[in-house]
Amino acid sequence: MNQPPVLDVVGVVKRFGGFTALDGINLTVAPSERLGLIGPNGSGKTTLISCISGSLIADDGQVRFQGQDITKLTPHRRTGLGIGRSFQIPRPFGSMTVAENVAIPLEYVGQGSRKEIASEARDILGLMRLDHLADTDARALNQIELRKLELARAMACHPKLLISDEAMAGLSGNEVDEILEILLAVNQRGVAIIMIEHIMRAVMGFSERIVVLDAGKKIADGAPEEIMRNPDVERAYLGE
Amino acid sequence: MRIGWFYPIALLLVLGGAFATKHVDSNFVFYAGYVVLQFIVLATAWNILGGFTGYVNFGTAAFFAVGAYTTIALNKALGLPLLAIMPIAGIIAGLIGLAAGYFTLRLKGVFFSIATLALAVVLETAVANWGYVGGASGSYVIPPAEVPFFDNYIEGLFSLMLLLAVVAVGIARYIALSKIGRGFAAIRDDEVAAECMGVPTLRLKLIATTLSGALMGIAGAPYPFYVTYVEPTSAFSLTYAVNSIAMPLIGGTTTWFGPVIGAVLLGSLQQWATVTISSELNLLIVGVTLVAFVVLAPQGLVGLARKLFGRGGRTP
Amino acid sequence: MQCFSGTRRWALKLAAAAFAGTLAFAAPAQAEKPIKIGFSMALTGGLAAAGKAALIAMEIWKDDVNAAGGLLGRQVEFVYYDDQTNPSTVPGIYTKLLTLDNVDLVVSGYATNMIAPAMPIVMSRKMVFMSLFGLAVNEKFNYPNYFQIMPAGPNPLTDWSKGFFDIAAAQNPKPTTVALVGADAEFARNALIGARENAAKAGFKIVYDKTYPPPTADFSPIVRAIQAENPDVVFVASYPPDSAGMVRAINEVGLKTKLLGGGMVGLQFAALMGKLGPSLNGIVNYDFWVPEPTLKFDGVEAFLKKYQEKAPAAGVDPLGYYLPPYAYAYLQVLGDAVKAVGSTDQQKLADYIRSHTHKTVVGDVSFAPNGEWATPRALMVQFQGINDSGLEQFTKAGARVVLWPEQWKSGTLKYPYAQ
Repeated sequence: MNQPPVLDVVGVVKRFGGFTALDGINLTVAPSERLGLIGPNGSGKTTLISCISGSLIADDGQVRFQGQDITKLTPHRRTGLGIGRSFQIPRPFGSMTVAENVAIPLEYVGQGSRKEIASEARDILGLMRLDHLADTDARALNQIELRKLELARAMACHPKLLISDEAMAGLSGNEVDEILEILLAVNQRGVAIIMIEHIMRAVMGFSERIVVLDAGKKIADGAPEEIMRNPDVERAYLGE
Repeated sequence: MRIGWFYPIALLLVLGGAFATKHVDSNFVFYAGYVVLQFIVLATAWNILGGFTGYVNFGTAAFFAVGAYTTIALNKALGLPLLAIMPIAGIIAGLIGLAAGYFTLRLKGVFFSIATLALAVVLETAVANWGYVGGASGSYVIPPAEVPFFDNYIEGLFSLMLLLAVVAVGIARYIALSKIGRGFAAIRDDEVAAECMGVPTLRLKLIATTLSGALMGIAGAPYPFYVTYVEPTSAFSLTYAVNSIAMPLIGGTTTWFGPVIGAVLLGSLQQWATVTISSELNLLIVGVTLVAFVVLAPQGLVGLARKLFGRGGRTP
Repeated sequence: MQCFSGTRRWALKLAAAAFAGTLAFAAPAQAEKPIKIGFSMALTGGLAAAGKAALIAMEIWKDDVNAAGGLLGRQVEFVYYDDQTNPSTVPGIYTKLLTLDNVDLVVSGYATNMIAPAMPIVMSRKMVFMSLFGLAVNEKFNYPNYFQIMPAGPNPLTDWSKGFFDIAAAQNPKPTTVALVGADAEFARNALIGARENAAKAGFKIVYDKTYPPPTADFSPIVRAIQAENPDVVFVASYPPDSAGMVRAINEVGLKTKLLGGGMVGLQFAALMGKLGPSLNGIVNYDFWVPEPTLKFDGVEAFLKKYQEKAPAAGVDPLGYYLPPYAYAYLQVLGDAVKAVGSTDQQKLADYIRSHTHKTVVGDVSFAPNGEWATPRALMVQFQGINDSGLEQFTKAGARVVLWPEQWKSGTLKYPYAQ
């Protein structure tokens, strides 16, 4: 597939005072690609996806989405262009039902009558196997249900690129599999996915390509088997 | 947007109130009623930004006084009638709300709240030094002796404030049931998530501050005719901020009718207490009521009702 | 009586007894219907200290009147509500008093922003309206039935400081330079306008003329700036907290001038007089009533005795020389008018009050057409011989000597000003 990348990160730098969190990161994501993003704690993964989604603005470098320079755009503009993300710690809209939560991006990113939005919300919830909870208050959900709601909302943004930020952290084996299934199904619909995870079997099984960050720099970028054998990666995780 | 029941009832209320003034003997009801209606507007306006969107405004008095002083200035300069002044007061107060929001809403919510406090102080000082509107000495506005249709000016003011209350509540209800209202709720629930879900948070917040400020300014415009003598200390009194926050808290902040319930209850209690208990006990009672509500019904009366009778679905 | 038959005599006796009987029943019922006086008063909020003191004075008047048989044979009752120092309550309160409580008479609450909101209501019902310490309220309304008990006079702005500059101009050799300083707020700015006029009229040269922002805490820089111009006369227009700060700074810096004071509000209150003590010596300031021999009007000492008994329990000014006598007096004027006119007819009362001089505990009071005092009587007094001993000394003559107007003078000016 020689299509232009859906995401092109070029030399992105981000500093917090004297601390350099990202020191010139280069990264591309092809349409419909499944990319794993790993690295020890504090390596800059969350900072990087924040610069991609817009929660943070890069100090230097460029972020291009589907050919368009989005480096300085506000998050909601980026969402409108087709970037969706889930949050590591779920951020549901607590005063709303599950269906209403999903309806927000459907209404603000998409178009359609209230009827059409309600119908699509149920479709998405069906995909996430949350449809039985459609009219439940979001506040009443348990941990895995909240994670799935995060993904449902991100899907409702009609993304071309979905960033899944540690959606499986702290979940049981079965629950991890459930999330994996959902992400694969989303990917089947033509959505590129960047997955940040610490659960190695999930990342290895899911990703077509893996990028490794350490201390603000990219230290490896390749197929899962290569990454497994890469000594730099081993050193980064286990120390010298 | 279906017509439903709200608009016919609103129309009935306004017309009914206006005609009722002709048949009630004592004007006392209109003086007391005016204040309660005024607080319905202020509480509803405050709640659009505070309850719906989650940004607490401590400077209600600033916007209210802008409305009052617009009346004083325009009445003195051009002799404009009150009905013409009210939209202008709304525009000016709205612009001030927009400016306040523009400079502070990019920062965390607490900075906005602090800015609103500062705004009240700055405006009060500016007005106290503006000789044209009387400065610190205050300014007189003589109520007209004759008013068309009504027997006297207070009946006219009462009916005007009734109309304004119905319009303000109608606006709040429209917003609550619309896309913008859902956007406000998303911002209130989790602004970061809302922004990432495609909600243009800055734009919506600016709409909220502008609209809220404008309504407060319109509510303040008739005040000089009601009280005859306006001076900065009482025009910028803290009671406006306290009441416009307390009333939605008592009634419930997430709906369009919560502030109305709170304003009617607390406002009527205050008016009743003024001419009955009428002593230091008055303030104590109002304070105790407030504390009781905050402790026993933190979601307000609406929240309490929902708990007792189950979540009855979407707001009407 | 020989011409009357036995039956007729009996019938006459019966009729007489019946008539006497109906009198016996009817008369007490009429005599018991009280005369109600309605008003709002600041019992909470910023003006509460003054409002509560005024209410004590007013109730003493009511008790005095009722002990002497009431008005028109009827006992006087008050119907009042706390206006909470919130002007928005006033129109509603006076409407209730007049339309629901059906009071016979109304008087005002305390201070301009509590009095003005009542005006449209009392005017629409053509009530006579005694007013307690409102500044120039009637200027916009020109209501003929309005009467103000504060002795400021028909031109309050200039009258405040006239005495001060008259005293200055009378000294030999005549002073030449004047410094004007005041708070950047309502009363002070107006007082300074009047002061400028009076200073110019007396031929003084103004060498310093500045205002300070009200929340100023440290007055030493201001005092030093004034000293730098070496003025002969220093006129100050200030509010209670600034007055105290100014007096302290003047004593610390050691201001050298010949005549000092004028329009400092607060130096009339017991709390400040007690705190500042000897640092007040030499200051020439305005006041409305002081316990000097020239001002011992009928009833004022008896009144003050009763007031001073009740004041400490209520937590108000223990001396009560400033406002309370006037709160007693404004009811006196009204009550005496009712007795003279023989009814509560509002227009007759207003006409009577306007056309007569009234004897009150604050002296003879007569009104100009605009409702202010026909002759101003803002006094100029000088603090003399004050020591550290506390409030008792302020109850005796000689602590605050009246210098102006000439009619009430009770001592001589100590000149030039020295600390």
